[in-house]
Parts: sequence; structure tokens; C-alpha cells
Amino acid sequence: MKILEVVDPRSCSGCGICELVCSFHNGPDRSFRPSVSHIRAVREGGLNRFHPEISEQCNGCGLCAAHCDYGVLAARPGQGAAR
Amino acid sequence: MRPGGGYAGSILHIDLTSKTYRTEPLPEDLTAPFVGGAGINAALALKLLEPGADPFAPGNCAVFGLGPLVGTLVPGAGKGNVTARSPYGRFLGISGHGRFGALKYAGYDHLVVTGRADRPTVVSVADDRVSFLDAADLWGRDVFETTDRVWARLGGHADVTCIGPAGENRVYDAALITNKYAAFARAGMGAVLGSKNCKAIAVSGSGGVRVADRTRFLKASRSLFDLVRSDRNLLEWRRLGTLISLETFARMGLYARRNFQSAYDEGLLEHFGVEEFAGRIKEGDVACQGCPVGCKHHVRAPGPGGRDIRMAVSCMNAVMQSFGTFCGLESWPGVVRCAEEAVRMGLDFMSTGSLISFAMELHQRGLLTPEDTDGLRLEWGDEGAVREMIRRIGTRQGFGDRLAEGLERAVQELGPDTAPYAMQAKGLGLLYDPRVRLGSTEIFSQFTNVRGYISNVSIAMVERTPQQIRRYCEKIGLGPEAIARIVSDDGYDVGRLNKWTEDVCTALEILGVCMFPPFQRLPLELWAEACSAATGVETTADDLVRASENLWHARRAYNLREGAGPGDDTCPGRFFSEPVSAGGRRFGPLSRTDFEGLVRSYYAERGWDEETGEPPEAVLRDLGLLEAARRT
Repeated sequence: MKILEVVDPRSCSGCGICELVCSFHNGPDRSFRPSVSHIRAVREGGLNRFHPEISEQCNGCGLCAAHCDYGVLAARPGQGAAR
Repeated sequence: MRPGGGYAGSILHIDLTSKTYRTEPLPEDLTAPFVGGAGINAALALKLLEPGADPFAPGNCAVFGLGPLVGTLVPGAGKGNVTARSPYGRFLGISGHGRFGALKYAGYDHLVVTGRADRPTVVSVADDRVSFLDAADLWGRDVFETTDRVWARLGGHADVTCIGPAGENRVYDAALITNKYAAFARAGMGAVLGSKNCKAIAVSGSGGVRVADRTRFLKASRSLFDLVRSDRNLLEWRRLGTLISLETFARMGLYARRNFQSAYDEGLLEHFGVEEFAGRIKEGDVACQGCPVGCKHHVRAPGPGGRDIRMAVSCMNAVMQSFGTFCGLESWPGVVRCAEEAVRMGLDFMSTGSLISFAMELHQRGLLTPEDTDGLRLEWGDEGAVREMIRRIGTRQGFGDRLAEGLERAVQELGPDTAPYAMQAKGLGLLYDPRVRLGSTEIFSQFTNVRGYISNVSIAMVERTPQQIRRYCEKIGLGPEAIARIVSDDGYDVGRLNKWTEDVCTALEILGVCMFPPFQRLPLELWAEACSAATGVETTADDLVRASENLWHARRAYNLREGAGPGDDTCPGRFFSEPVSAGGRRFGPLSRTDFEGLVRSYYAERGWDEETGEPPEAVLRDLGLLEAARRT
């Protein structure tokens, strides 16, 4: 269990890799399925800018942070709700 | 077929005339020889397009396709392809970008759009629900306004691919633009959708893409990500995108000046310094779907009337080239303002820049007067004139209408004395000067490609020794006989080499992966392994090369059927008659005999008839394409 932190939301490129990883490992059918991901890259105001939003279902596995190439997410050891 | 994974397994057919849709299973007789994406699109286009039909006839379908890796956790696997009859008529229109993957999550590998709606329409694809929405309020609106309104109507989660006024007006260089920046840019796909009264296609999907063997797939995925992440140029690719080569190309003299009358040298960097771009224009990184590189950009520049321009740009080199080196503008903010104008109109940057550059040379030579151009003085470097021409081309206003059907038609419109200045192949404007570097497969392929210029990101843009080319050939798995055909002690045959660099790039395109160097440099075996694990169909690197060869057979067969031939695989006359100087060096002119020899080499390496460029009948028969290729 880790605590997931959004450390630099402005750097989100919208690649969606976090959604792929999360949905595959935590989703109901082991598929790449962004719609069921516990983290979503959310579009901002008609631009191609995104920021991550973490749902309450996040189990703190930290895989999204491990796969984020843009330094948006970090996971640190600990117990507790994902942020 | 019921694939094990990778594929969604379904083709969605939409008929705008009847506002109906149907699905069909993705047939195995297409996946086996063509694998997917652009490969299957090539075969479908050859079969579905009526020979000789008007490009704007309702029956001209636009075929969208996604390869089996799109939507999965494979680096760069977000590339979609669209294939249709180009407005240029006898050439196949093909284009790709990295933001069409939502179709896979909606449950489809391919989307075939045919017919013509009786009024402006937005097609909404949301999983298994297809809706035809009235778009009368959107007709005439630019790409930004249209996208915003479709998002407001359907929700910001949908990927919105739309046309601007240029597509509505069937301007030959009209683009199809997704989410305001990712463009199916060249070959007039926007005009094809415009002719169907299709203002936009909005796609959202809630489904998933499965893989056949999860453990094997994750291992392949990890290997690919590790290699991309260990690329020493990764961060520079992210920082500069396609400007990564600007300094090198400028010093080589690759950037044509004043419509190929001369060439820029490193003096270009005084106006277009990469550090100025990175420090003052770029605001952030933008990535295609599933891409750890992120070579697109958020840019910001002072716009007209004191407002700020803030937009995403896919290919900044295209922006710099189209409006900078082609039209003579000399500042980053200036070319960004032109790019914004072109995106709003829904126009391809490169083709539009080529058209304006052509008109500027005609003006310079007195072949066009301000009376011809509605009072507009087309002086090199005049930003106001360039932006005005972009608007007039997009709206077919005045002189813009005479350029609106591309360079080939513009010559017919403006008279034969303008022909020497139309720097095009197959109607599409050229990007790089072959006199400076014909040894580049990317530059050479401008002339042999089925649609005209297309990026195949050559390994030989910079000078390479025969030894380096030999090592490249060995690395991509060529045997001694093939290498001996391509490389000698003195040099290499770019026609023959071009076949193989095309195949490497096309193999990635077929899978749905970006072909830029961070991906292209990885062993094809690894991509094949990911494909095997995803689909459950054992696929080797040789299988991918074979699929590429099959794709090129299909595309070539289409062009030949429609009346194109070896006469279209040539250079503008200027390159055979005038030299060019850059950086104190003189290049060319090219020898026509040598050039034609290289084209024949390319045909031969592809297994086509050396004189006619025809694929062998037996091969087309085996691919199930002979009947389609021979239809009249």
C-alpha cells in the first residue's frame, strides 16, 4: 500500500498511460480500459491540457506513478487514502 | 474471426446517406496478410473504392483503421490511419495521427464512412450507439469553435475529429483535425468528409482491449518501454519534438528558400533558434495516446489584436517550414499565428505553405499581379499576406479559390507558364530539396510514395557511409544478397534502400505504433513479440515486413488502376535544370537518367515491374486483390 500524490499536475501530457496501467491491474476484466481506471487524465477547459484525478476506489498500488514518464505522480510508502 | 486479443474484432460501417450503420467481423483473410490498421485499410480501400469515381461522390468511402497494438500498454501505440480516394483523384489519400484510438475502446478496429448526409451532420460513436446529429449550427464554424461545441454537446471525454471551412468547401488540402491539434493533415481527407456533409466524428468508448497472453504481453511491453526510456535523446525529443533536427538540417542546407530557388543555411537559426522556441514559445508537453516521449507542444504567442494564442501543435518543424522557410516569415510568433489560422480553417500546414510559396514566386516573377490576387501583394515574408491567403484558400474567396484545388490544378488555372514553379509530386507540395540530399530515403520517397511526400523518418537524412548503411541493413535482418544489391564499396542505392526503410516504418504503422526514431530504432522482433502476445497469433519480424510489402502492393495497385503510373514518380523540372547553393556549397542539378534509374531500382526492390511499377499478378491474386486491382 502506498500513498499516491499528484506532485506536478501541470506536467501531465495526456498520454493516458496511467489509465492503461491502472485499468489492467485493478479493473474487472484485466483489459486496457481507461473508462474503469481509478485515475483519469481530465481535460481542462477546451485545451489539450490535462490533470490527473484519482477516484476513491484507488487502492494505492502505485503502479500509475511508477509508469508516469512526465513526473506528474509519485507514490511514497505508507498507509492511507490515496490523494 | 474471434481474436484472442489486440483486435476489437469488428468493422463499423456508417452510411451517411441513409443514416444507418452496421458492423461486420474483422475477417481473417485481411488480418493474415495485412495484420491491421493501415495495412487492412489499404486492402479495404482498393476493394471498396469505385474505379474512376469522383473523389467527392458519395461512394468514396473514408476508411479509418487502428492496428492491433492501439489501446494497449505499448509505447507509442496510438496511431490511427485514414485511407480514401484523394481529391487529387488518381492517387490514394493516406494520413495518420496519434489521437484516434478511442475507436478501439468503442469496440472497432476500422470505421468505414460512406454516403452523403442531406444536411450537415455530426456522427457520434459511443460504444455500440451510433447517432447522427444535426450540425447546421456548426457549418461555417472553424475547427476550434466546432470542437468546443461538440464537446459541450457530448461531453469533453469524446475525441472530436472535425473539419473547418476548408473541408466544407472541398479545398483539396483540407485536413481532418482531432481535438484541435492532431491532424489527418495531408491528401485532403477533410475535403472527403466535407463532401459527405460530415462536420465531425465524435468517438468515445468504455470498453477495453484485451491481450491474449497477459504475462507474455507485459514482458514485451516492459522491454519496449525500457528501451524507449533509455534512449539518450528521449528528453530532447520531448523538449523540441520534430525541431530536434532543425540545427543539423539548416547547416546541411535542407530547408528550401523562396520555393526552392535557393536554400537556407545556418543563418536560419538566427530567426528560428531552438532555445528561443523552448524558452519563449513552448509552455508544456503534449503526448499522443500511450506515448512516453511526448514530442508535441503547448505553445503560446502574442496573437492578432493583443490576444494570446495558446494551442497545441503536433509538428513544430512543419509549422516552421510551412510558413517560415516556405513563405519567408522570420519569427516563431509569426509562424505560430499562421498555424493558428490554418488550424482554424482546417488546412494542412505544409500544403498550404507550398501553395502560398508558389504564388509568392509567381508574384516575384511578375506572373501574378495584385489585380490577379484581389489587391493582395504576395511579398516574401509578409505575414499579413500569408494569413490572409490562408483564410482565402480555406474559404475559397477570390484568388484563394484558384489555389484551393492544390498545386496541380492551380497550374491549370493560372496557365502553363506557371508550371515550372509548382514544386510538387502527385499534387502535394515537397518538403526537402532532393538536390541537397537525394541519398535520404525520406527525401527520395517524396517522389515514389503513392500520395507524394510522406514521412518515413529516414536513417539517412544526414550523410551516411556505405559501412553505416551496411550495418543498418544487417540490423534490420537483410541477408547478404539483399545487402549486395543495396550497398557497394562506393555508396548505396537509395531506391533499393528506400524499400526497406519504408517497410520498417510501415510495419509500425500497421501495428498502430509511431514511426519516429525513438520507436523505429528498436528491433522489429520486439514489436512482433508484443503483437504475438496481444493477438495470440504468432508474428515474426519477417511477417511484419511481409505485411508492409502487401500494403504497398495494394496501394500501388490502386494508383495504377486509377491511371497513375511511372510518369507520376518524378521530380519537378527545376531540380533537373538548376543547381542550388547552401552554406557555400553547390548542389545539383540532378541527372534525370540517374534519378529514373533510382526509381526503377525502387520498383525492382519492391518486386514490381521495373518499367511500369506494376506489382506481380500472382501476388495480387494470392492477396485476393487481383479482381479489385483489375476492375474498370
